[in-house]
Amino acid sequence: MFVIKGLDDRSQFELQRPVWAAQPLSDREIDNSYGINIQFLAWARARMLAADGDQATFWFPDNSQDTAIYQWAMYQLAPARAIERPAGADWAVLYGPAAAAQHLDPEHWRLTSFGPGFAIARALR
Amino acid sequence: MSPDLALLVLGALYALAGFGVMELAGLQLRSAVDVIKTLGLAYVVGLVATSMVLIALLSTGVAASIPVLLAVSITLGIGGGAVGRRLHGTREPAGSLGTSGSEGAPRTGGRGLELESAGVTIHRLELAAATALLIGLGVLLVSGLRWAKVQPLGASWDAWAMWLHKGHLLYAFGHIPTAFFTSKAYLYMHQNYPLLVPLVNAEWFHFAGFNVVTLHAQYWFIYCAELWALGYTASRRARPIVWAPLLCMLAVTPNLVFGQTSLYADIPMALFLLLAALWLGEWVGRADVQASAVAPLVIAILMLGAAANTKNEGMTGAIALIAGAWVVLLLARRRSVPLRRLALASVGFLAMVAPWQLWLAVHHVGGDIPIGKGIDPVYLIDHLNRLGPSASAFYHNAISSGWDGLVVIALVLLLVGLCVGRLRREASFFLVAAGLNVAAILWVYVISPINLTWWLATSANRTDDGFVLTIAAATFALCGQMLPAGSGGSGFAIRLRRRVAVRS
Repeated sequence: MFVIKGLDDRSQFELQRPVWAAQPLSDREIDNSYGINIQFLAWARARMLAADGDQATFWFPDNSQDTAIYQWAMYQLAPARAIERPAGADWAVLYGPAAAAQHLDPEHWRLTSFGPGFAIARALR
Repeated sequence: MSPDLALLVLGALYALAGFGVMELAGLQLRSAVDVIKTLGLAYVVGLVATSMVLIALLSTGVAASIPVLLAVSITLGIGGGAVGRRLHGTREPAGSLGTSGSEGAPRTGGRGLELESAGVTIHRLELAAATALLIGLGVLLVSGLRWAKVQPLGASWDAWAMWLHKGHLLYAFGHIPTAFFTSKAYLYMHQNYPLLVPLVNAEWFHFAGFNVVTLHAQYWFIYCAELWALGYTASRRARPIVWAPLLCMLAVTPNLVFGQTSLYADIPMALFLLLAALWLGEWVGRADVQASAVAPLVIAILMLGAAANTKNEGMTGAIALIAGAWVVLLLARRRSVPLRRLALASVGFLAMVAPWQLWLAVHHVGGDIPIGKGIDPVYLIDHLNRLGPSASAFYHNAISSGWDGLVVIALVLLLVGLCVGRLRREASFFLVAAGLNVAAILWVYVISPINLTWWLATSANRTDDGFVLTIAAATFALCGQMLPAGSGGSGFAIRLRRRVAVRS
């Protein structure tokens, strides 16, 4: 009985296999259960790593208080490293309208918009 | 490198290291059949041994790169084998059944062990049935690789937030990036959790590229190796018609299958505990008879070190098993040789967990469990209201359908084992270890400042994994000894064998 149940559970995987295989790899590499804007994060990561390599640091104002967004962003933006305050960060990653509305002094930050509510800012030193 | 090739190359490296360590421990491989039978165990032992060395190196600032992994695997494989052959004269044959009880006194040769050859006669029908079951399981496991290779990451929060993230960091930087492990920005990823799973992830990324989809195949491959290792371990003391169905039942247990492919660390940790419990139980069961046989103890301690280096729950589970062995041997007033060996093994365990714990201490990285307060009676009494809900959640998850009734079966066997003189010591060992494991987990739930409702909802279905698989080991250990061994056995004793006589 146990074995049959186990086999039945396993067969769900077998039925899913062709569905999974047909999906693009980029879709299968993400956990999109939380409606996170992964395109923006991929865009931000590419810009940070292109400029500073794996030594890039960023400030992620967590105005949304959404732990899924915050933790996924930390994961997807790695190996760029988050620091807790804007001072000393190479970049600011402004995720969501609340963060994007953050006032950043244009003398110290150069803002680049991804789309409404999503932007990154490069620290000017 | 393609995922298929990465599976094979990494597998070959682990197996090479594992065979060396097994030779060093005194397990002798006499033939190609022995090599095949122990291949799964060699893979797991090699994975564990290389990981222990690499974690120690990482903790001292050395990068865990491909050349370092190659050097460690080859050194353990070739060096360990050479030293093992020199160290042990006549060793414990890999294919032999161990002794249970005082029957079949071993013949020692050199510093190793030669077991008496005694006949367990196995009917052709029994052998055919077990073989058919194992072939069926093999087909299932191999076909499972097909879906594991394309499985999406899915909704696996802890997998990406903790284990994949840390694995990516080890892969990207080579060494432990201290800034990530000490920053408050990354507190959520449990910076103090051990490094074995991130290391396994990083090794995969080194060989197959940063690909979290194909990583599922590596976890499935590890699962297959662990089942293979479990089959071999169980076959040392039980007849095929006993261990083969148990292995098949365990292999398709939903919590194991889905847990292993979720890329969480709980099931890998619990499987290490399962193997450790089985090997340690075997050693405890015969410690007085074969004081010189260290192979089961060495393999058990390696698995315990792996569990403790996988999750903090693995640490408590491992300590519970070691404590169980101490309690049983001390109560049985064993001779000093087994106690000395157990003391040495305990030191070996400490040596395996020390590097990461020292790294944490040096960098002032703590956890979120107030261990110090946990022994304060006033604090404990103040938090005692957390015990009831924690125990209830633990109980309901342990007997849930996800475990296929494994706990109930194991507990019944353990109670029977307590009533049978020959099995009492080993049954006591499993009960003490499992009891301490449960007590430690409930203690952590009680003393933690974390909101209990939320914590139980997000963790209770996983924190019982180590406990369940610890007593699942009892199922394999006791079941095999409860059934008569056919014409070659007597009563509850399974006698030794080196060759299986097939009676037509």
